[in-house]
Amino acid sequence: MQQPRISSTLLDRLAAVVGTEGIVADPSSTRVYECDGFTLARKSPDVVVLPATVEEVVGVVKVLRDADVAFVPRGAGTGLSGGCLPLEAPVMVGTSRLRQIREIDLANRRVVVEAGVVNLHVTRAVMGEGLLYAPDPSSQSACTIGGNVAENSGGPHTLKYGVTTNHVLGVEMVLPNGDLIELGGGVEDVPGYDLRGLVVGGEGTFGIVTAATLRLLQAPQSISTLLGVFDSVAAACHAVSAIIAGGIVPAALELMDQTIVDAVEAAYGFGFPADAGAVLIVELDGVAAGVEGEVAAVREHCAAAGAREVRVAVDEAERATLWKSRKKAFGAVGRLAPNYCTQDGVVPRGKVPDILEKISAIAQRNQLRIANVFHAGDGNIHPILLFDQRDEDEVKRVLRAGTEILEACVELGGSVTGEHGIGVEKIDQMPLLFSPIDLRVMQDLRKVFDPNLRCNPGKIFPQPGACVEVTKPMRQVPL
Amino acid sequence: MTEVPTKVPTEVPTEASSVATEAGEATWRYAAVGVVPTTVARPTSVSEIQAVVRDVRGGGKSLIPVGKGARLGIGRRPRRYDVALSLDGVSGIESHRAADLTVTVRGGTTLRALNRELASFGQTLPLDPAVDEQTTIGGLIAVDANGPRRLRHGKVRDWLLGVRFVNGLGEQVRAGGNVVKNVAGYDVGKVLIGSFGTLGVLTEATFKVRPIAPSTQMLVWECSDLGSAVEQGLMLDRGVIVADYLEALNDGACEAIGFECEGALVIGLAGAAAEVAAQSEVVESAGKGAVRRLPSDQLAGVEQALRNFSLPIDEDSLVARISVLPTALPDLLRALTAQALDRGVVVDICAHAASGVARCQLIAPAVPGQVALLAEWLRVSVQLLRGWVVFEAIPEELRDSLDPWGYHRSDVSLMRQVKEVFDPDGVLSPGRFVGGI
Repeated sequence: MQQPRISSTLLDRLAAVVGTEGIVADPSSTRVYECDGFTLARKSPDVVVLPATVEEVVGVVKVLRDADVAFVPRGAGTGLSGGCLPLEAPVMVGTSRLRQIREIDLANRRVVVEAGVVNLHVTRAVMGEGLLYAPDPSSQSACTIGGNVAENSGGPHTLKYGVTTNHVLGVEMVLPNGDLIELGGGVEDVPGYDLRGLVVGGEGTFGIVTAATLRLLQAPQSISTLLGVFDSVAAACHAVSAIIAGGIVPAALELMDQTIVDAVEAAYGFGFPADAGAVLIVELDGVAAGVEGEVAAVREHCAAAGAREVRVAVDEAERATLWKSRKKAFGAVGRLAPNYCTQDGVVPRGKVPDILEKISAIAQRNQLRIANVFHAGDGNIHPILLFDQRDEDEVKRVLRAGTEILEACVELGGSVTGEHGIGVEKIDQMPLLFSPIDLRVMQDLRKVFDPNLRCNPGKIFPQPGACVEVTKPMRQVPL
Repeated sequence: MTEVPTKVPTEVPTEASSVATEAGEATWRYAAVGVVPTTVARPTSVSEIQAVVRDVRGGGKSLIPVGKGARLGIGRRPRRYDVALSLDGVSGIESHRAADLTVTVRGGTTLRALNRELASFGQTLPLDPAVDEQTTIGGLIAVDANGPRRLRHGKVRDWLLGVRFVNGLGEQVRAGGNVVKNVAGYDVGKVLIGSFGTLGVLTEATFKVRPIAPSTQMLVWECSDLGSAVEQGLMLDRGVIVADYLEALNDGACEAIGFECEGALVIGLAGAAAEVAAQSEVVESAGKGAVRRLPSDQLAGVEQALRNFSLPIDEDSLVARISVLPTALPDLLRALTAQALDRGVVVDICAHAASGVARCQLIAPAVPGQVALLAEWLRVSVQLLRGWVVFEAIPEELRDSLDPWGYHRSDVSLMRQVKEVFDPDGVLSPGRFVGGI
């Protein structure tokens, strides 16, 4: 879909707000912004505006309001569903220069950070005081809080500690009409409709979040990380079920299948057995006396499920390496195929073996290789579909298989996305989950914030005539 | 165990005339802030609820969804209230997926009934508001009713996965889902939490649940006053222990619960036996001789008293729930105590110490007008601290002068527009909510 390039007058007005250093308009430079981590859909914005202060965000949005031009907010571009693709919006507003940590309130365990602050930097700023920010997506060394708020990001440790929405007390945002507002606040109980709860996970369709008040957690007294090696994914799944049924709530419970283990091993040489059918990472944390007992119980559950080996990380260094192997698993996949596409379906925890069986059948039927690395504890699967995008037929099969996997998740009583968002990727699956009335209510809520639908148009909701061209991908951008 | 259908059920239109109703005497029990409805409707299915909503809307009237009615006194006086829509007939567990640690339950089910069923599987929904036997799931969500365990386990918003409700147009709406992690579409369920029946009639909710802790222990730390009890709580919460709850009581609250001291910090521990034992020792050594372990046969009774503290003692008492930054709480409560003493007002206070939340009972003195002045002082003080106060019970003579929702706020216009999305004709609980929504 073509759209007119923006006028030079508009460009001048934007530059008057942010300065020329805050404007990216050269086509070779805007190309960097043509996609996020969902690389199957691409489109360059006409211009990228990078305000450095909240006042500049307000100024930019007002210029766009007066010119009646649509825009899309963008954080670090690590999203995985095309949420910041400038689909029907010529202007992209990046929040990466809003980098201030405005307030660290250790005594009340809160921080106020601007949208462009990197997730990991929040924890780094307070870890010396024994505190941490819990949500830890795999991209946490790059992704920003603004993007986390938009996508309601998760991560391995959300099994015990919850996702972004459980840790955001308040948001400051610029509405598409230019109003700077605050929702929620610094305290726990705020009467009134929880609009902050709506904006978190709104995929950037309500406005531009400029800052958030985050809750910090006390770092656990004791952490123990176990590695279970199994002959098959099914055996590892049995262990997962037994752990959950045994009344243990691990901090994280991650599963990697043989394909992933091999790739990770080739890339990082962690020391996984070469012929392991599946590897389970179990992290237990809390009061030392409690963790000890849980470690023993998890060992037993793994052994009973047929684990070949159960290893406990002996020190912080080994634990860090183990987590690196998990969080960098996606990067290691680059060794397996020129391109890959990750799905993010969710099934009830007990249905994980069923969905894995279905995925395996879907892979066979579509003649594809699919690797699995996922959050086993909460049923959030991440099948990785491997392909070579020069092979047009294979690309079509990848897209078809992706859809089939998501449909299977819904059939099993789950959802099409656990933490990556709908974006442009899963728009077509929304009607599988929601009735036309449900979808109308959501869109009417959006109009409360953005009556003219100028903020991140073309996302989340199925619209006739606004489909994304994803049949001719161009190149792979490394994650 | 039945599975929840994933497809939205097709609607079978029902006539409102086929729904059981009552009028006359029976309606008095459903009064909201002194307004008595003319009819009580008792639908037994979602389609009957839809029929009642459509009928009320068609007649230009209004309704309030009612569970057990325990919290109908909270909020402003409704602008109009014709029909009490009782959810008694829409109760029970739809499906409990024990292995998944999730449960789907109908709106009229009480929290106690739900937790009794979950307990037989060794599981619980760890929300502990006042009067759980009088708190339906619909009410729990609509009122955002939480209790002492929020310290460790969070609030309603941290456990709710999905909702089904009937909006002001009589349509069935679904938000969220049945799985523990889900970002498909907007998190509409969040907006329903604490909406006081103004957005929808909650017919069904899906929650995460968790295993019941194998071992529990309550410790009582006797303190010189409330302020120091809160301060000890904050100290313990800074990485010393991981408690289920830390409740700080003033002299009046201690007396009400049967503790013989001027102030106390009540510490709830739960977990594996070894964990509870280790943490108990940590607290005892921090508190020197001032900490005692509560005998286990008294645990349930004291926990219930702590939960139920927010209920008004009588119709003349004013209940204020305040929320400020935790570190601001000790001084605020000391100042409140001094103000109350000056004005001859008796005030009982129980605080969720480390959450910055306190529940205060202001009991009318002989000199009239003092409670009103104290409430106004509290409102202003809390606003200066950038916190919030909700007056959950207000004596009749103060009704017209005291806004139960504290003070005016800038985001009310957005809220009004949100209300329009769900209930454009003002059928549902009009006037009760923030800003008269």
